[in-house]
Amino acid sequence: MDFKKLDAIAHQPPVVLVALLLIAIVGFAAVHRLVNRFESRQGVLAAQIFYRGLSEQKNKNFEMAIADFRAALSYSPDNYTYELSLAKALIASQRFSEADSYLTRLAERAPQDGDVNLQLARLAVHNSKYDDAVRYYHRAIYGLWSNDSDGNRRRTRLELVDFLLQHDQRMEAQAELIASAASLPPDPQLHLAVADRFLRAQDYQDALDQYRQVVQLDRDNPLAHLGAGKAAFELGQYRTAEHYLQKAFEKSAQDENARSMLETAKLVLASDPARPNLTAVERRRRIAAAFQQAGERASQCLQSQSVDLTATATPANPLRDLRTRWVELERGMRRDAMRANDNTLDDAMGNAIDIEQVAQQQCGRPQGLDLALLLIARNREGAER
Amino acid sequence: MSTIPTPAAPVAVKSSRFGKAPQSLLHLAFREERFFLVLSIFIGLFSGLAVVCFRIAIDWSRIVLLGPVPQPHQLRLLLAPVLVSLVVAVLVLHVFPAVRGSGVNQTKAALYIYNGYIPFRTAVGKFITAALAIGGGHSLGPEDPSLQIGASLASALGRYLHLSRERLRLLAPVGAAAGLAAAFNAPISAVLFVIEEVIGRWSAGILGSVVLSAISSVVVVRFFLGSEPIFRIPAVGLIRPQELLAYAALGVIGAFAAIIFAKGIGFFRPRLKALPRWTQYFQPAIAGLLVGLIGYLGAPQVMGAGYGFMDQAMHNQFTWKMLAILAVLKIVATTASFVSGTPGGMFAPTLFVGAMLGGAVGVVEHIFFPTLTGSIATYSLVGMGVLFAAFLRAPMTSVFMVLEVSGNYSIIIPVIVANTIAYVISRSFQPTPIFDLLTRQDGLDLPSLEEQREESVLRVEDAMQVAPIPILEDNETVADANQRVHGSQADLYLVRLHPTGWSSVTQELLHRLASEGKGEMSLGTALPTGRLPYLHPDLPLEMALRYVYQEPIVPVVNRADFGKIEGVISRDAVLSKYTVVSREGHA
Repeated sequence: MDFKKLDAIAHQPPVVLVALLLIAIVGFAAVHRLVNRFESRQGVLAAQIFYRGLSEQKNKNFEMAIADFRAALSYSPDNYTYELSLAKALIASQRFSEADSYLTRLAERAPQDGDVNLQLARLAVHNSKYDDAVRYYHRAIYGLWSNDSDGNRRRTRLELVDFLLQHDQRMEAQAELIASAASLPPDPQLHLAVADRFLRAQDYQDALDQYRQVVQLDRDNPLAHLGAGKAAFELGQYRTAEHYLQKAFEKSAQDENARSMLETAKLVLASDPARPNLTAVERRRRIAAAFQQAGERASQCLQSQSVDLTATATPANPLRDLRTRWVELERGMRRDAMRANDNTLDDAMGNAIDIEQVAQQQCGRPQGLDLALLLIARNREGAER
Repeated sequence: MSTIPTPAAPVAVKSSRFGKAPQSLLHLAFREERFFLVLSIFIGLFSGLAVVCFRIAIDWSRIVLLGPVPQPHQLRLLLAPVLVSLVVAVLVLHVFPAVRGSGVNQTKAALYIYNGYIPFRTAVGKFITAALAIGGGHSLGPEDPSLQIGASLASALGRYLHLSRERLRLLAPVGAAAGLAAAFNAPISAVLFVIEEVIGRWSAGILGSVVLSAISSVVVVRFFLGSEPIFRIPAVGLIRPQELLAYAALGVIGAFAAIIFAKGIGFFRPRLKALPRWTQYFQPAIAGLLVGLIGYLGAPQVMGAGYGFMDQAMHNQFTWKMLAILAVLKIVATTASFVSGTPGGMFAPTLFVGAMLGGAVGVVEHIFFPTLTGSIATYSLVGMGVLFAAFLRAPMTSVFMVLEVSGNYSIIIPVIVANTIAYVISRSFQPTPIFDLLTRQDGLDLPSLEEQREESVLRVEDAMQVAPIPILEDNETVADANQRVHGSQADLYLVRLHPTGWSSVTQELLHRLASEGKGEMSLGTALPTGRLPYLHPDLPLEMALRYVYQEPIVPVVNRADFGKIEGVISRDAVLSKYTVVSREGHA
């Protein structure tokens, strides 16, 4: 067969089509191999750059981290982890609008992702979008987490609680905290974190319970004692408060406010005439001391307001009236000091408490025994209610 | 529908394997037109494979030359474009001289001048030099080279198969569409662009092949590189009509940016080409130095095609000032790279400029009008379309390109509004489209769709005359007809045939028939059986030329009622119309 014949056969349409098909198959195989090699090389490169970015992020070098994450993403465009890391780095470097577009895209891909929803919640917090923030926090709490889902959900809930407390939403915060407290593992740090937030949310009973659990788990935890003392103080449980605060300072806790609380608690315990098991003499002594203290407080407060104690035609002043009443009672008590009956004592104590309360309104929050008297009054009202 | 007999399919030249009459079923199955369609699919497959390799080559060379994470103040950003440019210049001047210039125009020249011939060497050269140049940081895109690689592959295949000259000519655009579709991952845009810019006319004959090749190449690319659109933006919600004003503003700004871009290229390119040949070794290097300097000093985003950065712009990752700066720098860098003769295309840079400009305008508009609902991504996408329409002057492609690359059809109205405004303004200030400008600078004159749109077409109605009265019916007798034409000045009368058709008869023939004793015969029986061809008023006048030399008059009939005469057309009427138009043109 000569060359011309071969050439003619080679150009016959069926032969040409078969040849083209074979070439296409071979081409596909070759390009497939090439693409696989290239993609795997790019994958390795992307991973290297990504880990470099993570280390940059750890060193708080967010700009470099962002550049690396972006580069990693350009080599592996659909990589979820890279994209999420980039979004987080952008948030960390306060580039919220850039992060927003990535996170929105990630949320479209995986709307249940807890981490993405958490980042979106943080963005909403930054953008002062309260409702969005709460919604995203809840989505994050009930979303899916790739690892440590319980821990992540708990941390997210605590972040939500902090956000709610910042916005003075104590009831919502308390609800989240109760839900969180229900599933806490026996970890003192976790209980402490929840207890602290209960305290901030003014849910003192739950706070005291949580602090007590911390103390059970870690007897030497000064912060737990401190917190328990504060919670007990707010609950009016001054004996308990004194106990925990005393312990806290023994364990070298440093908190001036708590120290003041301890002093006040001691004063309350030492000044409350209604405490059980007091002798009549002691009760009288306490009432007399409280009465004297209230009289001084009234005088000081009225003087600070330059109120003439002798004038009668001046505008009405409840504290001056109470002071007048105090003078009358004081005369009576001095005259019949040893024979004063319960009614007189009750009147004197009532006058002292009234003076402290009105003086607080007119001259501000007192210190020392005056404060103790106010707290005694509060407890008494609570008990009456 | 016209009943004018259509010309037979182009006869294959002697060298074609398909020129002989079909001898068997096998031959019937492989008739050239069918084979051409099958071949288009293979051209698409091969172009797709080539473009996948080309894209990998660009990415690979970019990683090697510019590093995996290009950052400002990296010395390699300055050195790589310069050194690569020197290599590319030597390759272009000594090994692949045909790769210099626009692939679009070279493919067009192949179609209209070189009988579809594009050397295979061009594909190889374009692949190597463009991959090096774009990977080395030159501000150019891979689409134009992809288009030329596809066209070159198709041309080589057609030559090997000894296809007819007509088919060979058409094969280059078929390959071009495949290459462009693969590069853009957008088959509709590629088909439209090839029709708008390469073929320059709507031709149903080639449309099937172009579509098949484009689709098959995109299938290949998506198989290997994934089917995700290039840009991912969220769907645009309901846009209030008032907001279209914001997009209109973008159209105006984009148009002026496109004009500056086109004027810059039009000004510098011929001047640099006119410099001594030895300077061509250094022109790409100087352009590379400029681009490298821009990258080194703080804007590496302008280096290369920049698709990643367009995506970032859409996702609100630059300030409006940065976006505007990047748009300006990209125009400067692309102008330098392109006019220096470095192989590479202008599609990607055009989109880049549009994306940045659109983003900048979007951000600024949001500052002044915070209630606007369009996202920055929307403005960037619309900006891309605007630049595409105003700079490349392919208005239809610009609309579909935006829709395809984003996979988002919800922005069609803003895109159409902005693109139309940009296109109209650009045409007013820059009458010659950029591709035509480049063609003319290269000393060629190739047809373009825009020119055709501008041309006023002469139609049959322009040369049509009143039909001679009376119009005779085929069922009336010769005697009656003689009586009716008695006293008429015309020599020739039209005869309406039933149910459809027309014939003609002269007064002399009517007299002769009567004298031959056929007075009582009907005209339909007495007249010869031949029928006149007929035309419609809206047909191009040139169509009349086919018939007016055979027939003294040709009836022009209504399209809805073929029996209703609108007028007649004659050779003298056609020629006198062309003479008048020619005189008016000269005047």
